[in-house]
Amino acid sequence: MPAALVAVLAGLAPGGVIAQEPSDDGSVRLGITYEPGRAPALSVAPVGAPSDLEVAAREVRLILERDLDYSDRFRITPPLLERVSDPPNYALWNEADVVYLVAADLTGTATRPVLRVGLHDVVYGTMTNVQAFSLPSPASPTFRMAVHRVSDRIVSWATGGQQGMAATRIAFRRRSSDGRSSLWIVDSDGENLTRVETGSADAVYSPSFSPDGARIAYTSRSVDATYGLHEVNLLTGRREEIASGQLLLTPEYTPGGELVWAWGRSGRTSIVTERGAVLSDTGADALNPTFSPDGRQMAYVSDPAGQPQIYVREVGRAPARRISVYVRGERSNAATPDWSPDGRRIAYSALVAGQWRIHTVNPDGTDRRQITSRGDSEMPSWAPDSRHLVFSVADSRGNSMWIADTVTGRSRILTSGFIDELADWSTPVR
Amino acid sequence: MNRMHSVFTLAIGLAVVSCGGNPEPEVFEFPPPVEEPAPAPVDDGSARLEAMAADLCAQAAQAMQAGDYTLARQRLEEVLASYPGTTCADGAPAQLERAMAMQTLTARIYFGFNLSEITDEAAGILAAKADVMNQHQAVMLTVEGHCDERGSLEYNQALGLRRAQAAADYLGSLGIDGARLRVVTFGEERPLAMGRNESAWAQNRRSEFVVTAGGLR
Repeated sequence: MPAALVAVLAGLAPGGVIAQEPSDDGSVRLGITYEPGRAPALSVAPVGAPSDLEVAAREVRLILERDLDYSDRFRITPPLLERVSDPPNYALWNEADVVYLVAADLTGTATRPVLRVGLHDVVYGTMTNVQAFSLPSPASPTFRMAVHRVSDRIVSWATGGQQGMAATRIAFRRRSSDGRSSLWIVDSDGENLTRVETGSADAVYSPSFSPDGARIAYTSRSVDATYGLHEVNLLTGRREEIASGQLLLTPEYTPGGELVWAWGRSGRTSIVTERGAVLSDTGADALNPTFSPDGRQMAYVSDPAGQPQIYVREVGRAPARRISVYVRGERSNAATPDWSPDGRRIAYSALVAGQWRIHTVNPDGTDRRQITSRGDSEMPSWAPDSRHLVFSVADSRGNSMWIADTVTGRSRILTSGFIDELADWSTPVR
Repeated sequence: MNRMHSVFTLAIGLAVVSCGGNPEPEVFEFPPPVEEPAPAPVDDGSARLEAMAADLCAQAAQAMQAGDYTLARQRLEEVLASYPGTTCADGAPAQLERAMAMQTLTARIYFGFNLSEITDEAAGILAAKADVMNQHQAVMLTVEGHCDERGSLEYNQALGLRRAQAAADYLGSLGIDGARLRVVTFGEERPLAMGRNESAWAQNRRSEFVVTAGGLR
């Protein structure tokens, strides 16, 4: 990684996020221990290319290097050489403490380039993986995402099959100074910030990606406080109103693809399904459903004891068990649970001494950890790698949206200068 | 004209002096004074009173339009006290009644932290609304639920709905037909007071009431 980038990231990282002990999340493979400073060194060699693809090759290398850095699984080392021989001089790279070397060539035509990527295990002096990827034209808006997919493949190779998160998007709502809000998406590396057309809504809420990442469900409020539930297709731009009413909140797709949301009627808000089933108890408000990967359990916010807390239950069954901290008589508050894609943790935000903090907890309520410690940090959403979280922060420096690695504690700013909130992280973009 | 006249007089004077002797001074006839218009009848003050009362009534109407019924009442009460007998004062009692009715109908009620229970104070305010609604059967209200910023954004929308519904239910318990009430929530998104302190939060945990029909405006 370039020294300047290291300095920037080092400057961003401390303070907001508490470094956690390495988690036993199954990510320890091939002798890799995910601790700050102990990640294996990885270097992305300059990408070879004919003259008409040189610019694209440089861009490919920068995207790969940044993606692998943002994966927080490696310590990025600048390449030693302008050209990597075939096979590479493993002894030379080994001397520089490089564990993984990514060597790539861009061939084909300017409109249909082909990226051939090899991952070398420098320690063992062998190329462990190699694959050719057909890319769209570098001028195409899909080019960067195609390279992100290659990054995720490299992460998978180097970690024994673990899911990356480079080829993903984050949907969120942005509040403007006049109190209105709008729906936006941005790539996980902060590029391609795009506004999603939502019509005449005064406010939008709670975007939620469909399991295939092609659609976003969200709710809206008109000026006269009529709420609508909508789904927008990101490929076609087609927008459909699914329901309207007194209060529609927090849509979420089940792993099976069914849409579930919170529906407020006659003063009471319940979690309902597209088919009309009610998934929560009738005696308390319930919202923010999120599902275990097998779809059998649901975490959500409810307030049967008077203060909103996080509960988990078998779908369609009682009773629910509380997994957030509730101290009777104290003003406690927990919100916005999100079940990790690997099913092992639930992230949520909760008030601690009057300030919002991000927490993660096992679905059975054990091993609760506070992840953030600065300002108000709210509304977490898991990346598909089940280790990164995106969340909103409001502190003395203003409003921003952050991405933090729950394993190393490393963090970075995704957006700043706006009130960006209610983020939802997509599945890998195909 | 007068300047010409003066120049002419000076010329004659010089001619007389240059001829020597003591000539009789010339006497000139000045043009008759222009007739002044007849004086207006003596002002007995009533027009001025009408104008001042009308100004207060205009201010009252403006305040009504802006939803400041307290100011509207003040202006109308001033008209009745200080300008009796004026055209404006003649219509003031009816306007004052409208302002008082609107003030009662739109009076806010407040809630505790994370609560939607109707307090004793709120119950009194709602009872007064019910009285007015019973007197004015055409009145329809939108009942809005609002929250302070401390809950989560989405939970506050649900809490706002619960607060608005609690207010509507209380009005219902006093005999107000639910068809005359529309219950909505804005959550924390329309704060009345800015600031991160209990004083601001207490003002924001509220229900507001908007008169949408009934001819009282």
